[in-house]
Amino acid sequence: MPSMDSPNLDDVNKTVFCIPYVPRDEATGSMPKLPTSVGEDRDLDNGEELRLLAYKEAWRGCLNRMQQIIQELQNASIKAVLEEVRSSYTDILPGLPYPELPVISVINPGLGSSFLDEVSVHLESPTSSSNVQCLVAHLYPGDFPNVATGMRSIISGLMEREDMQDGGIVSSLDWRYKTKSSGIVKRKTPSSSLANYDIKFLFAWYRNRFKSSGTLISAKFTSLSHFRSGTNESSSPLLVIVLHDFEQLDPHVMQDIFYVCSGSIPALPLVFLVSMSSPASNYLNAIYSTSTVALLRVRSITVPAGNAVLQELLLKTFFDAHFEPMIMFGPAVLEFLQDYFTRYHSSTDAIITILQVAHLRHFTSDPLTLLVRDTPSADVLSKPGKYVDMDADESHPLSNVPRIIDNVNDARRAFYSRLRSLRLGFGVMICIQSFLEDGGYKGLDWSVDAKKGGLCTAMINLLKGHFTRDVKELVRYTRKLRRDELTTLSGRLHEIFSGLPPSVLSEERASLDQLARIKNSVSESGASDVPPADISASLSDWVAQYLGESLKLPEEGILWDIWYTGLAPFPSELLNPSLRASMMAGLLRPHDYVDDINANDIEPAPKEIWELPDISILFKRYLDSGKMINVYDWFESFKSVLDSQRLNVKEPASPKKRGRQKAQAPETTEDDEKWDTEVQARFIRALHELDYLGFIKHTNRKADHLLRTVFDVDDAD
Amino acid sequence: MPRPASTYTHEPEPTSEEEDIEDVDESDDSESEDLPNDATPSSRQKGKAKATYLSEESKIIVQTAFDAYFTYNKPGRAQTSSNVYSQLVVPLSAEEYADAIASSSKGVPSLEPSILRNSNLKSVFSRLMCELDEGFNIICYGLGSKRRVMNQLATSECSNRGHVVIANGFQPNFTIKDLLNSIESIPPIQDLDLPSAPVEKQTRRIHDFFAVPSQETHLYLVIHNIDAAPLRSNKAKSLLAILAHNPRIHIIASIDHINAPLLWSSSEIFSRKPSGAAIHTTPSRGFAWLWHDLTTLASYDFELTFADRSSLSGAHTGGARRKADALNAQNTATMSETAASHILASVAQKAQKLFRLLATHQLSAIESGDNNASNDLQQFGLGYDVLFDEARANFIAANETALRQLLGEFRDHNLIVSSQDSTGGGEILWIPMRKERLANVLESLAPL
Repeated sequence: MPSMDSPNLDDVNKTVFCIPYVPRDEATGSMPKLPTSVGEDRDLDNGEELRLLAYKEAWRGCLNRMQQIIQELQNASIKAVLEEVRSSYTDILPGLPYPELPVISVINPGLGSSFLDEVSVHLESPTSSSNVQCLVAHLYPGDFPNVATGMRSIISGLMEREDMQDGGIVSSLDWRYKTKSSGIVKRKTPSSSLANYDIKFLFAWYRNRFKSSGTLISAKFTSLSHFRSGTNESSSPLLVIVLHDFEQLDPHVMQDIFYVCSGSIPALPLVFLVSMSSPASNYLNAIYSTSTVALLRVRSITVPAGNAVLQELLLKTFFDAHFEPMIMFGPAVLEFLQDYFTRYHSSTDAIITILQVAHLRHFTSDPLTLLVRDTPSADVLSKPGKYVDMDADESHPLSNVPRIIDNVNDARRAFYSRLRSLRLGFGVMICIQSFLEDGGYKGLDWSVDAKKGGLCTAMINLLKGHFTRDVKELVRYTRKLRRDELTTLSGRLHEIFSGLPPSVLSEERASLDQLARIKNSVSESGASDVPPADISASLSDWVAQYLGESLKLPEEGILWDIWYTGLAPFPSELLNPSLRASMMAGLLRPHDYVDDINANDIEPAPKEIWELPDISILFKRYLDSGKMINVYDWFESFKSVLDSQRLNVKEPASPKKRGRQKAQAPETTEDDEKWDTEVQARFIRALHELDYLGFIKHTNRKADHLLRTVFDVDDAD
Repeated sequence: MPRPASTYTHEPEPTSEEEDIEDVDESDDSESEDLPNDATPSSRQKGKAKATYLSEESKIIVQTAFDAYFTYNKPGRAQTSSNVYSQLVVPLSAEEYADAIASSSKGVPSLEPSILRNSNLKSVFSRLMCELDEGFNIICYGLGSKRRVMNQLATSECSNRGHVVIANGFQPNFTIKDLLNSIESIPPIQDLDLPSAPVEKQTRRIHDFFAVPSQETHLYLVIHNIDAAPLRSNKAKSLLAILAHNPRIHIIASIDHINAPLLWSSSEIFSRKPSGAAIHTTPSRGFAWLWHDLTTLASYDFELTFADRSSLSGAHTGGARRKADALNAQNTATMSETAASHILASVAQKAQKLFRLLATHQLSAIESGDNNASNDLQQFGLGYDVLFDEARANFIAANETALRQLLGEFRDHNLIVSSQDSTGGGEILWIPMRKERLANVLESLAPL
């Protein structure tokens, strides 16, 4: 029986326990702070809080920047979706035999559900430029177990939205209480006698709410002549139904729902906004029957996705002259990010999460990271017994504090300026490369074009220091350019520098002037197609010199590891855990978990099987067996191990390890029976635990046989 | 026939031993050793084919799980003995099980992972709390019951910062409604005096309550075994997804099933919490999990409290599905001492005598029999004819009708079971209790 700190949690008859919050004054743990770092002994007293502040600022900057980029990325698509929704009942092809149900399938693998949220906010916002109002209901696969429930979800979803909009700014909760307390009777609609899954219920409600003055139009008898025109009924809103994770919906249910809904348009202006997570654009055609698809008017909108998104985000966040991230990530983190994005989950959520975790990791790993943004004042640093241990002379730390602060500030300035020139240098490389690509040259191995890819790898290579070849190539290319090409390229490069923010520009004034000079000399050097050698050399010389100066690794200065993660790996198990491996390790090598991680210099002696916990013994035998396990055989083998365990535990020094002879100990039969019961109980317990963990599949194929579910190999031996 | 355990334990290890086998003959030999019962020519042919297959297989340098899968799933009969556990081993009653487990603690000392030591645990907790603050939800995996550690986190850390609700998802009678009701029993929500509502509404209500910007106290939901059957359903998942996406609700959950990560799609796993939840829009859904290895190596005794220990599949689908069913099943399979004495106390004296007669016979048969007392009890049973003769001789039953009447009571309660003798010797009757239990019952039966 497990012992517990708080006894009430051990009650087997209660399924849920509730501990209400009681505010306490002395609750020291209640303040949010970062975890203690590895170098705790070097940390300041309030290091955790200071680092938390530094982290918050660094992360906020990074996050805002990324959200801005994502916003820009999705703006065009949002506009397209909004346009499509709003015009779904205005410009209809003339001459259709029956009205078609507008379905807009949004393929959004990259931007995730936040994209649809954004769309619905725009659709519902009263300040939107269009005069078409919309009511948006979000529905998920769980809402559609069958047709009746699905219809009910749609109807109640739309009606709830309307109620909420009524409430306006007042929160729905407050509104609900008000209705309750003031005893307002629920709005009586002419539809109260209809079933709540009947589309006519929705129709009656809609007519009652929005068209009470209009003529009575039954959905059934709506003829083509009643097609809405956007102008005369702009006051009644469109009913937009957003279906999330559309692929998870049952097609049999959905085809009926589409059928039902298509029967009541256009009197009921329904619009389906369908979110697809697979990039295939013809999902509807592939899964739904022709008769269903014929009822729909499908429009597909594809949202930017894939590598382009990652590339854009990384480039604009970490390699953009106009933005200075407080923390720079090393090749290890970026490589993980690229790998994870391309292999497992390509969404912006994944990118943001990975970068946030990397930030957290960085600020928890080293106490010095509290210096990221600014250096604490001398007072904080000079607290007795607490000082930041850098290269300072340890004999009199206190007197050195001001000097240390200056040093740190210098190092920070130097690091950021180095990073800035690295970014600019990379910008120049990208500029030349994209120029070469535009001109039809191959250029370097990587491409600026997201479709061909490679830009992310180029960024990683740059941080790894693998850029010498690329620079040489670029210099070679620029030397051979024709006159018009030289003009364009020097113009483009000049643009980069002239567009820099003023603070950066002051440092790069020399390059700007030189580029201007080159630009002028090209245009003044006559009209021949081949420019004079000194002019074409001047640009390539500048490229060589500039890139040589600017492309310096961030690791070169002192204290770089405060602002740069370098080769520190990303804690990938936080996002992509190897659950199986952990489980197997726990079962096969439980003793590894007991030893402290820091003290594993000596390889511990391999454990005998009897030294393992019961579940491990049983699992070892499980791995030894075939695909089916006879429970009795399993039990016998388990028993034999336990027998040897019993023997070994009783006489630890005994040289005999195997085989329990009857003559060896004068054991009473009663003991034996007790032992048998114990073995059986332990067997059942271990078996149930393995079952609980999902290692066993029960089958009726053979009496008392179990199927293995895991075929991993025991590599412990 | 039970096979000697030693051959079994040394048996398979199919490829690692055969890594350096060059010629087919040798591997053929080792194969035929593996197949002791199938010495027919056809099976030898089969063995040969298999051997060539194995020698090809031996080119594999490091065997992976995939190799193992295909090795074990290749066509052919599974090599297991024909012993049937439930026929050979009498299932333990709940009391016997509890006694046995309690006495077994003096074996090999249980292991305590280093992560559970106080200083390490403290840093783990500070990490988890920090990640919760940063808008992630935590999921803990790894071998061993994580209940204790997570409860410790809840009581020592979370309760200092906000309301805590702990849900034991592994309980067979747990429902999502319990969780929601419990959240609504937190004083500030309870004060609102909300009417009862369907779970969807309730979830929305809770979400809205914590989404209000003026709400400062956060809610920490500790869910043990979020992979348990009651929480696996689509509905429960979507409700939890709404709560998990609220910036003021934090979930710390544990999983134990090896395939638990399949519960969520990757977009659900990654979907980030909105920075400020808007109350008047449909709440977004998602989990924003961060995964932590929390291997405790502790036993799952608490989680499996309601598992039927007398059945092999008693723990399937995470704890017994239905508590009542499990208990019923237990009654039919075994007979506990208390149950037996209850039945005996309520029957007539003659019936008690009959039971005593059968029990003494069975006990002496067991004692004179082989040492594997725990095996099939039927062999120690008494033939109906013999029993009738004995009963008549002891003035228990004068005729067959009387005997049948007396037996009927016991049979109804499964205290005496019968079956046709396989050798054709008529009906065999026996008491489905192992020796020591039977002896205890007999002892407690007041001497007549």
